Amino acid sequence: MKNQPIFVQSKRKYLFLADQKGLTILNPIIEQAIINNDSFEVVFLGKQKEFLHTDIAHWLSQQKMGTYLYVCLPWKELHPIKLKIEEVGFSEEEYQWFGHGDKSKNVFCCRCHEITEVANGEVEINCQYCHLLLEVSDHYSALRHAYLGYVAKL
Amino acid sequence: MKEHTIPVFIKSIEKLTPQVKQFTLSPINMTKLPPFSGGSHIITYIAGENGFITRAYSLTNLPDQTDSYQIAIRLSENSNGGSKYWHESIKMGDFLKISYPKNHFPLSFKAKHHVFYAAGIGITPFLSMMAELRERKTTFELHYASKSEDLCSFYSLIKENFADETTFYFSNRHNKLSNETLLDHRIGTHVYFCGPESFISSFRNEAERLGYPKSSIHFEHFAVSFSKNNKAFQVKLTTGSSISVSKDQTLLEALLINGINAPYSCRVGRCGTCEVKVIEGEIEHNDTFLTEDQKNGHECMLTCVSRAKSEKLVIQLN
Ligand code: FES
Ligand SMILES: [Zn+2]
Repeated sequence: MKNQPIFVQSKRKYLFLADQKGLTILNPIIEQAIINNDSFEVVFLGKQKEFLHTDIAHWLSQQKMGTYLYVCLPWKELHPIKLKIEEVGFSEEEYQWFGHGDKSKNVFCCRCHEITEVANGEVEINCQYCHLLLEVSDHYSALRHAYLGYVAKL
Repeated sequence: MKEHTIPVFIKSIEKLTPQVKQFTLSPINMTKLPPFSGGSHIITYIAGENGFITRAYSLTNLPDQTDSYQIAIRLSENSNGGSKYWHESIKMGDFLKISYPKNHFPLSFKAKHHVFYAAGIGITPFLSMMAELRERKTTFELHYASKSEDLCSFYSLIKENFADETTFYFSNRHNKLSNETLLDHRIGTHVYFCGPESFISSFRNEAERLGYPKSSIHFEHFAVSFSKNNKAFQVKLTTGSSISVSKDQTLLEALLINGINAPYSCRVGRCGTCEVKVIEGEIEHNDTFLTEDQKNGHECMLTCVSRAKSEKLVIQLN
């Protein structure tokens, strides 16, 4: 994850996938592509996101080698999109991603194995499914894409 | 440094095209040869007039067939012993030593789709790679350029096994393989090039121009150092000894024949094991290991493939 989008030179085509706020963040890069006379495509992610996900996966899978992708979305929408991007075959050298807004956190319940989304900074939460009181640990599981939640009161 | 070798004998010889022969090598004192991964090669050691002639050849049999190995060798017009010896002197039943399989041209594990580009005898590393992908159920395609159907090695084997994945390009039918096909590969593709230097650089340059990441581009060229323009040269070691390298020899071969303990592994300019320091002289770099800056600096060289541009070199072994 980079903090600032960086323009990567000499790609045959640039793709931008963003919501309203994301577009303003990516704007300097889009302008650079325009100045260079590079070909590019912008996909605006509006409100009906659920509906759009399959379309986006399809659009991504139609891209050719030599394409470079920039994604900028609210933090909590980023993860599922990133999964699609990587599944389609974009490598780390072929796209940059940025989150904006509140960074939320996924917490994995040690009892029922469900995931609860909480705001960043919370230390104790109730599992949304089994309501167990969980302590949010620093232990991130790449497998679950979540922080492990431990029993808060033994 | 002494490399572990495997004694084998020539079990059979088959003429694939007027210029290409396939040799089947079987083990002498074991029943199975070591397994290998797609894209592997071996070094063959043939006793020549001044020491061993060592050459790298891709294994062309399926990776899981280990009761024997197969290599395919094209007789090159300017051969200086390697392919000429294989074509004219080797007979069935002959003994020789080979190295363990090495792989400096492996398949990417990240790719969603693999595309192979072969020109002429450059097809050899791809046969085992395609077999491995078939096994892994991963998609791939082959673009294979040859002068004509008659001169196309493994034509029937490929038609039989990989017909759906393969496009042949025969220049005698004015069907030329162009690097424009690089425009069509979908995201997640890795490309592999094998053939003459000019073929590889044309495809590499085009892929890079289109924006392919470097890590998605793979290539291999064997025999790069055995061109007919090779010249003999003199090498002085910082330890004092002086060695002459004939035009038919690599610097590494000359060092080894003279009893110098020079390090090496792949012998095809990819691993960097044989690197030595250059104290004096200019280098014709033939490897694909050193960076451009290192090459331009003329301060180091890989003895297995690179040669002197000047008449004399002074080198230091580490
Ligand atoms: S032996 Fe591997 S680069 Fe020379
Ligand atoms: Zn729970």
